[in-house]
Amino acid sequence: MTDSRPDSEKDPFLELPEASPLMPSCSVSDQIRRHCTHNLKPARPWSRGRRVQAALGLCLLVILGVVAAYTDTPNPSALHLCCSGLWFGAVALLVALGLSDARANTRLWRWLALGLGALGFYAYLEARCTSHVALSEFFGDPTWRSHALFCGSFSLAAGAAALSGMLYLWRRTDPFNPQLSGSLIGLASGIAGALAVGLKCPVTESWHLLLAHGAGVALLIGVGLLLGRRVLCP
Amino acid sequence: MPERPLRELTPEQLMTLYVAGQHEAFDALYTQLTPRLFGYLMQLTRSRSRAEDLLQVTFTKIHRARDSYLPGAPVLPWALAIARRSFYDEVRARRVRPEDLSAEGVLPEQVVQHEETANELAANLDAALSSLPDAYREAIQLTRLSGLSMAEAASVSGTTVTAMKLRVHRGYKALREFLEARFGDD
Repeated sequence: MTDSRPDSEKDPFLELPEASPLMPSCSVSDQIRRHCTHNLKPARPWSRGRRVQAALGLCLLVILGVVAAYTDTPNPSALHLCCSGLWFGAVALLVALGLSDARANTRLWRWLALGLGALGFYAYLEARCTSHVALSEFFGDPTWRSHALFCGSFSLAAGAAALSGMLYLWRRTDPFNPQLSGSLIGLASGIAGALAVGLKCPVTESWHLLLAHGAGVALLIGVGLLLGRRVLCP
Repeated sequence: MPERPLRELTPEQLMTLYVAGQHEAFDALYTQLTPRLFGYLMQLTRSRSRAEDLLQVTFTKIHRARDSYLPGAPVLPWALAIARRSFYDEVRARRVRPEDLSAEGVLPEQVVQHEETANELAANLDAALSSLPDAYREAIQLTRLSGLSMAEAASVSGTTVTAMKLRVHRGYKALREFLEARFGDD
């Protein structure tokens, strides 16, 4: 059957004769077979659902651990609890949907989720603030500084614990976009750390919330992006 | 699992059996995957020895990562994505090894091997593919030569379906222009 399309549209590969499949040398094939079947034991892969449950359990554990450690601060208000609960739900969605199917063509909306999630959380922190001091006063006052350092360290440590656990849970699962998956894990764990500290910290000054509670989120997104390629890619 | 000969099972079924610890399933999986994987690596590296090294690295990673394989997920795009990452890791490693560089500080020229191409048309296409930008060449390798769908090829490359379609379209256009310019109406 002749191809009546103009030359500019013809597939140059159509006229190519069927080539015999390329194969490596026998010695290479034997080596690969031996290596991949030597002492082969059944592996027990975790399902997506199980990984998501474990990740959320880890985040909850981190949050409860930090809350338990803050013994001499008042309990959060009902509104604050509700908002934190909603944000924990957002983390759950991020983990369940953002990390569940990296192989499908979900790159665009995952980047969107990353951007909107980070911006949304910073907007939430701003909405929580009830007072504002000048930046020079914030860094100049030793009380503001030490409190910010305390909260920031706790938030970062909690987030880092969640990040390590989630990177371990999702290790070697994503050869397609490991940096993006790592960033999403960083966002989820950063929010978990910030929520943990936010539940017990009584300060609602805007620089304190943004820097001490929120800076860890940006930092952990960066760490997740860097570690994602090493840990998440097979 | 159906009681059929292993050679009749799909790569996804074979991978599930391999994860469950069956040696024979790996042999059948290897036989099914290797022509596409090795062909892709040959297109990327233009060198049989490098392709063989990378094939070993790829299967080692598949072996180590078998406990994180999601049952039912397409195996070929997953394996190709691992191969692709392994190739770029190796390229990065070679760039920082000074003993690989020439006196002028550049990587040695890749020798385009034509011994696998069957005839003049295949050699011409090979030369034309080599002239393409990396993104377009990879798009054609994955969709036309490895037989992946647009969505699968986009997953392997870490891009969107729209971007992959654009790359394939532009790659084909560049291929035709190269062939017409070099070989005229032959």
